[in-house]
Amino acid sequence: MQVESERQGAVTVLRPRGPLIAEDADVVRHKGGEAIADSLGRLVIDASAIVYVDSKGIEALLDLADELSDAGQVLKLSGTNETMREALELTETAGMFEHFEDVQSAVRSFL
Amino acid sequence: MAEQGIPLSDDIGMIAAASVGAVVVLAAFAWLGRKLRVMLHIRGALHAFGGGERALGALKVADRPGVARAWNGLLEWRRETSDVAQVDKMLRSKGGTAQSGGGGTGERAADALWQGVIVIDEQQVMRYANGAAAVLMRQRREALPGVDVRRVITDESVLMAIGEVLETGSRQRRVMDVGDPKASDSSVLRYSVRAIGTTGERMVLVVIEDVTQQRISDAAQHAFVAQATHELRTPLTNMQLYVEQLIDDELSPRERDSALNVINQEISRLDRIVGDMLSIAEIQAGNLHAKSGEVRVQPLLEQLQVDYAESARQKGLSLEFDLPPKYPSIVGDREKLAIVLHNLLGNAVKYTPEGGKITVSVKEEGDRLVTEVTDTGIGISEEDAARVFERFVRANDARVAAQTGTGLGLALARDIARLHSGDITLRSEPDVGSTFSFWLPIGGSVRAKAA
Repeated sequence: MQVESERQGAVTVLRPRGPLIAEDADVVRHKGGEAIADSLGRLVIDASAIVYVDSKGIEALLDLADELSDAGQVLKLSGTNETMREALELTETAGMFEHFEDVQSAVRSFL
Repeated sequence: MAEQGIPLSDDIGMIAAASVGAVVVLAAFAWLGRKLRVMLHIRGALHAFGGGERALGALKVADRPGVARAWNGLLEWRRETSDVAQVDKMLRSKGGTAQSGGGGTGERAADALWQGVIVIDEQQVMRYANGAAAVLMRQRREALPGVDVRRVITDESVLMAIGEVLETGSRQRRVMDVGDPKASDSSVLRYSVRAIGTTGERMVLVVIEDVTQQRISDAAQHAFVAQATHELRTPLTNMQLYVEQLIDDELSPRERDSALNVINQEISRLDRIVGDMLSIAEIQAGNLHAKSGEVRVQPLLEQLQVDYAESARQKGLSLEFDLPPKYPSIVGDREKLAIVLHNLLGNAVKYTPEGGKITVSVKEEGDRLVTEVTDTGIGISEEDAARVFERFVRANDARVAAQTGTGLGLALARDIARLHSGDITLRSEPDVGSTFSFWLPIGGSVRAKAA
């Protein structure tokens, strides 16, 4: 899975492209962990290019959310499509994340 | 013979008795001296306490069995029942071990804070640190309690503030912004230091906030105001100059047409700048919307050819369009897509030196329509390439600084591309040139808002 990384100000925005499933979950978990350490937790996952997500993918996102939670922060997701929102709601994990319509709103929330 | 003197054995006995007596007296004096010294130290500590001293280290005496140990124990007991200790206990409440990350109510509350919170005792030892503090100081949380704060915080101004607050017990909050020496970026942490507790042992509460994003945002806004002022002034100055010529001079019809043409170009330029600013304001407010309709790409590109032919010719640039005979259907906002193309081609013209070449090519790649703008311009370093799509950011190159620009164009272009479920990517090499690839999904849809 391709995971683009960019900085918007002091915030790291990760943009996984394609389905977030199985072995791809480890890529996101690894890149997310690195970003949390580098940016002191200033992390946004731009989910607009995630086509769909399976249980492994959700688990990876929850792992990152847990890591941030230890530092009093919440994992910010932006641009989640309907399929992904449904998956998060069905697994009752939607509330573990902060949801934003777009990357800019998520980045602005760090101000 | 017996009356002639005291027998020798009696003399020895008396001397021995006198010696033992002297030793006993000396031992008694030594014992009494030690006791008195302890009492004198305790008396001194009491005087110091009476004089306002509250530091536990200053009131304790050298540890010895008996009275000294009892005195130190009394002080320790007082410390444990002080207000500060109550705060500490609260943080460790219900069995949670505050230091190691347990699950007490107080600790869970402190862990929900995004600000780092640490409590330091008068020996400058960390007594408590929440999760955010560990992350912000780039330490393992479980390793923090019991550690000398000087081993973790290295900034002199923060350490001095902690020392002063411990010494004076001042309630005044001291605030300082400190660059993070361990950060790869320009992270800035704000430390607020103040005393806690009203009686008993002094302690210091340090709150750490990550203010990096605020700092960057403030700097960008200031830079934007400066750049925007400059950007607006340039076309206005040109227009003023040519309008004055039209009013004052007797110009030939050809010169008059030329002046009017310049004014017309500058009005278009102003219109684009103001349009960009308004669109950026829309993005800032989260209100960037795009109309959703069928966009005919061919006339859009033909108009682009017309718009830039003259400016490319004036600069001695070769401008080529490699266009397909047929175009697929694109759904989106014509005006917004025109902004993207103008920004990409406008930048190519602006940053390509005289004699350079610019090519605009359009082709179908699978389910995408890809427009590439390639130039033989100054190029962009790898470091700058990672940031050029950020708002208010311009490449760190003197040749870029020499040109007017707000640092908004590419940010806006990419936001619009993403609003159309597409994107813009960049390949570039300094002093060789750049290629911006702008793709849109064929027959794709417009998302509700900018992403």
